[in-house]
Amino acid sequence: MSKKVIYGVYDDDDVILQAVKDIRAKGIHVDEVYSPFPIHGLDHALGLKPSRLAIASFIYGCIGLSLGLLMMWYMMIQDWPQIIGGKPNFSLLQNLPAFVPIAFELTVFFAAHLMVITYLMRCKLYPGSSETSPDPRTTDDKFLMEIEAHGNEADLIALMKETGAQEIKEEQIA
Amino acid sequence: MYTVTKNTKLISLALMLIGVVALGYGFIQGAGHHTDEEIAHQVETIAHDLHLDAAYHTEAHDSHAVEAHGVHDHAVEAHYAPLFHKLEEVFHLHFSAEEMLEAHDVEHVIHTTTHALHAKAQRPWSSLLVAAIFFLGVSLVSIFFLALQYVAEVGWTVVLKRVLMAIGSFLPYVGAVLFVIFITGGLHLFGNHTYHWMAIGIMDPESANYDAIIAGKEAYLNFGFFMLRAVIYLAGWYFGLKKLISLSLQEDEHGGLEYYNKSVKVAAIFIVFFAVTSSMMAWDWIMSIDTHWFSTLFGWYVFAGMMVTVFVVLSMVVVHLKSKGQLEHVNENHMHDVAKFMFAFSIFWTYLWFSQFMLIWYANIPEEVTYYNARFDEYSVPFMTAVVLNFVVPILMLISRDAKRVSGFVITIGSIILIGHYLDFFVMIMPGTVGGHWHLGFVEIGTFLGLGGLFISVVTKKLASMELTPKNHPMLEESKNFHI
Repeated sequence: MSKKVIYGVYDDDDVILQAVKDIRAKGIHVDEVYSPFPIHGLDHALGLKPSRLAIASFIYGCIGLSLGLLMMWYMMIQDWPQIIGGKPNFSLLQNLPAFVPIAFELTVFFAAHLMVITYLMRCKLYPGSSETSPDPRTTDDKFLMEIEAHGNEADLIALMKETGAQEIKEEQIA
Repeated sequence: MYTVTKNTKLISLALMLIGVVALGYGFIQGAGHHTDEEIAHQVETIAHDLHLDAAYHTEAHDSHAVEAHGVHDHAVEAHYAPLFHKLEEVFHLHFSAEEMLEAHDVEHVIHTTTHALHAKAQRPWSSLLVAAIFFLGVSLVSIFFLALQYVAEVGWTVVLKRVLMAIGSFLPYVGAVLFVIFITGGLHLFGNHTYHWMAIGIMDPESANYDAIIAGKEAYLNFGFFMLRAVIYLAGWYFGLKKLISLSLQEDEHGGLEYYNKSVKVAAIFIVFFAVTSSMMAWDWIMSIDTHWFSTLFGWYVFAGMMVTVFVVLSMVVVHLKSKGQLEHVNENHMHDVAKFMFAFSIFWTYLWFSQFMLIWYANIPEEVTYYNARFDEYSVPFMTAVVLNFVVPILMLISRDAKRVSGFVITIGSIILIGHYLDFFVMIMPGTVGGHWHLGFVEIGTFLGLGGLFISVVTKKLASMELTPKNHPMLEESKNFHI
């Protein structure tokens, strides 16, 4: 099924933010905005749901913490107990202070790395993925708004012009 | 303009009254303290009456039967119990089973009794010091945070600056309380034995009280230099605050960048001064209580705890002011960032708490571990509760964005954190001053509430004396339109 989209190219982040607000106020759904940098408040203006990345990160942290403790328990208590500094080597709990730094580091390691990987996957930025931006200038100094048209092309073009778009393109997507 | 309501005045007055009553009760309880000779004489007399003098002394050393049974034989344990029970009645004391068990002769009983009586006289002083250190943290570190806003040229806090100034204004009052503690301690008045190194004869090789390790620290830990340092710290901090307030108020009147630029300079100097003095203050006023023991990161550990309390108190004051229709530009975005600081510094506090603990636990050097032995053995409940309230509670409750944006929720969790940090200061100060004879009762809590009442009274008065939103601050607009 093919669809028709309108691209409006803007050259200022404040202008496109206001444009998104104005257009959405008219009840028109803005499908996507491409920008060279994050625009503060755009998520909210586009009506996007809050990111769930934080929840994922919390879970990754918990996994890291558990794996860290499990690793230390296996290495230092179960498999090859050693007496270090006269500390008890038969109990995870009594030796816990020594393991806290490792468990902490693994918590941070898992949370950070898996969060970045999740973010890249969700943004379709894995190796071999193709570019999704309709205009390469959005990686430099232009801001682009994408709206799907349902027979109201003329209205949309007029609206974009009104809100400060510098160029407008129509495109048929297969 | 904000005006102090009658209710606020009544509450602060009532709290101060509780404080005075609590302190008075503490002093009356501890009063009538006897000299060491009097105590020794009285214990000997009672021991004589109970036929407990000397008899057991010889028996314990001569009899092989006792050694064969071990020192902890029941007959041995019970030996001085009647004497201890009688002493409990006479002096209104309480002795633990271990204390009774450890006593091997009348000499030892005298020693234990003297200690218990000193702890009793010391109790109101220790309570006062814990409360004073707590409120010192709130006011002093809020001045630091204020200075930090200038040095880092922060925009979003502009609408909170006057609140920080008002909280900082409590500094001279808490400074006065601290001076009362220091001076009575130094002059050995009213049973104040807060600082062990101030004890008579402790630096004198001829004295029975001589302690070679403490005498070795005389160059730093002597009363004159100690007082001089205290004066320098407090004067420096207070001068910084005064200067920042007056520049900010002048800016309201005249406008222009000149006052802001001057404030940045004052703040930069203040921060350098604070960096050194905040650590030294913690060594002098808290760490020197356990005179033999030292920890390099102690100053930062104390500072981190104080920093957390600043953000809690700041949120509370802002919520109060907003409920009175003030601070119209402060919204959930500002509160969110304050809560982020609260969360972050709770984690930082835990990091330092653990760093200090782990190194000492791992190295296991006797002169270092005694510090933690006292805390784990005699203070395990407040000690562990403090860690739970200061770490587990904020990390679970304040981690989510939504939680941080609801002021009511933040100050509820904040109140729990405040209790945690009170307990943290409590276990820093009490073991070295009253030892095993500690209480967390009317005297301690009442003194804290009393100083809290004074805090409310001073801070609200200061808030009512000035415009709460700066007028000509160069970053005022940024702060009004702050959004995260």
